[in-house]
Amino acid sequence: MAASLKNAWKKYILHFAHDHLEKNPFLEIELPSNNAASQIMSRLVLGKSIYELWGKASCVDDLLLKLKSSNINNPCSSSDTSFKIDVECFNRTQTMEQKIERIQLKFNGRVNLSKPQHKFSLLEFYEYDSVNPKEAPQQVYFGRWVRSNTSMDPTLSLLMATMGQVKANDLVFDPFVGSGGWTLGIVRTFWGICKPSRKGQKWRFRDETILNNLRQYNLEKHYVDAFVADFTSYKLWCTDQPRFDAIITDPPYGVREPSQKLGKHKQSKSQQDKETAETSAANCYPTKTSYHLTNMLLDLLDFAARTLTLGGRLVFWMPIVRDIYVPENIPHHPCLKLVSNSEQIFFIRVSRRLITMEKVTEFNVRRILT
Amino acid sequence: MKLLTHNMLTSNIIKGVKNGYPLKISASDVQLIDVDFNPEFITRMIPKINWKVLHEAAQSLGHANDLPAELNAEYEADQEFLKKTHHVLLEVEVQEGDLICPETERKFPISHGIPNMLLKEEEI
Repeated sequence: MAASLKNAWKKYILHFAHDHLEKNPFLEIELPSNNAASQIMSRLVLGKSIYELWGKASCVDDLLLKLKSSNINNPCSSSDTSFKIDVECFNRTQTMEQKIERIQLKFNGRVNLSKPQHKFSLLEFYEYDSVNPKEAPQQVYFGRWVRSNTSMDPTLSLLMATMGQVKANDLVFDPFVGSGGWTLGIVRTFWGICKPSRKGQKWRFRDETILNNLRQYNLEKHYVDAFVADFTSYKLWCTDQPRFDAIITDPPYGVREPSQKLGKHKQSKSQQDKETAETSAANCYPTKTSYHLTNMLLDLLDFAARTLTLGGRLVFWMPIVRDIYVPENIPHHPCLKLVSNSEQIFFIRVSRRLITMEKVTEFNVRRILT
Repeated sequence: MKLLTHNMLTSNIIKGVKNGYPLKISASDVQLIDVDFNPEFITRMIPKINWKVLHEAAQSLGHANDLPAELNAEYEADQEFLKKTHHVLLEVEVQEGDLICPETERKFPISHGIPNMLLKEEEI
């Protein structure tokens, strides 16, 4: 009985949404049904897509041969069905012609690129080589699409919550909360606090509040409170004892802000000076930026060391210029241990790193000074 | 602003202020809102708050009701007590008013339920 049940399990190929070029993002797994595959995807933070695996080989020709000889029940065997085939290459780009050449499969159905009934994918993994991209793939897969996770950004907020190990009834703090974007991602899992303290916060709409954002998702019961303050000092807080189980935040580094300021017309002199100082710090004078950035991060670490409970985690994003990055750039604090440091690449030269630290020692002023 | 928030804030950010805790509350509009009661969360919050400060703040707003002034050692099993604590911590909401520095009397306005703790340059 067990054997026959096991036989009913099918092979699937899971495509992870990662940027680590040297690792194969395709994982082969066995599952009882498409429904199970879909359920796993709905909970999987870093899963991009899942496919019913029809065949795999080390080159496209072998794969096509295998597909022809296999006895998979093809839903596109009748001419009144429609389908499309995508080609996805990891660590290698292919022209449209090259892609089309690869997918000469004789399906009876009609090709329909916009609204096909069935979607298939040819997935190719090439070994990473930045100088001489490999000509031949290391592994190729063909599968029928089951489900994709749509957007990366909510995924990232779930990832931040996971790295912060946020549990039910934890008290979580975001010192730069804005309108509460990422809290939407994690708030499902906690009953906590999300307080913004961001200088000069402007409302785009009067009702654009964190609470209203949460209300849309019926999550307002997880929200505690908010206030406006300048996040430069722990002195705002009564630090007689640690209170936060996690501090999770995406600090405003001034990387995205300048682009919004370019469109402005007339400003007062002082306003102009202030903004020029801000924009130039972000754009033109990297030494200034790093000074500024370092100070903000040191404040953040100091704050976390004082206010986190023991074992509590600090999770934050840090922008990186990839050419000059060395791991020593990550700030450190005697009370905090680096748990993880992972990169999200934006462009060849620019990325950001998600830094996770855990409080391992109680804060003690004397220890910090000596 | 909830009294949980009040319990954590100080005015020690003002230049020269040493004992900016607890802040005094002057409220012109206090609203009672319904928040789902979660005993586990309240139990976890109690060790994190200054009970005396919470009790006094609730009293100054006229919402302490019969909340005990001292914390009972066996509060975890006392559902009634946890409910009262839940009420003062999360359901009493100061919508309009001021937080006042106990040393300098500097006022931090609370507007639409959100305290503004920003300082002027010369105060830092």
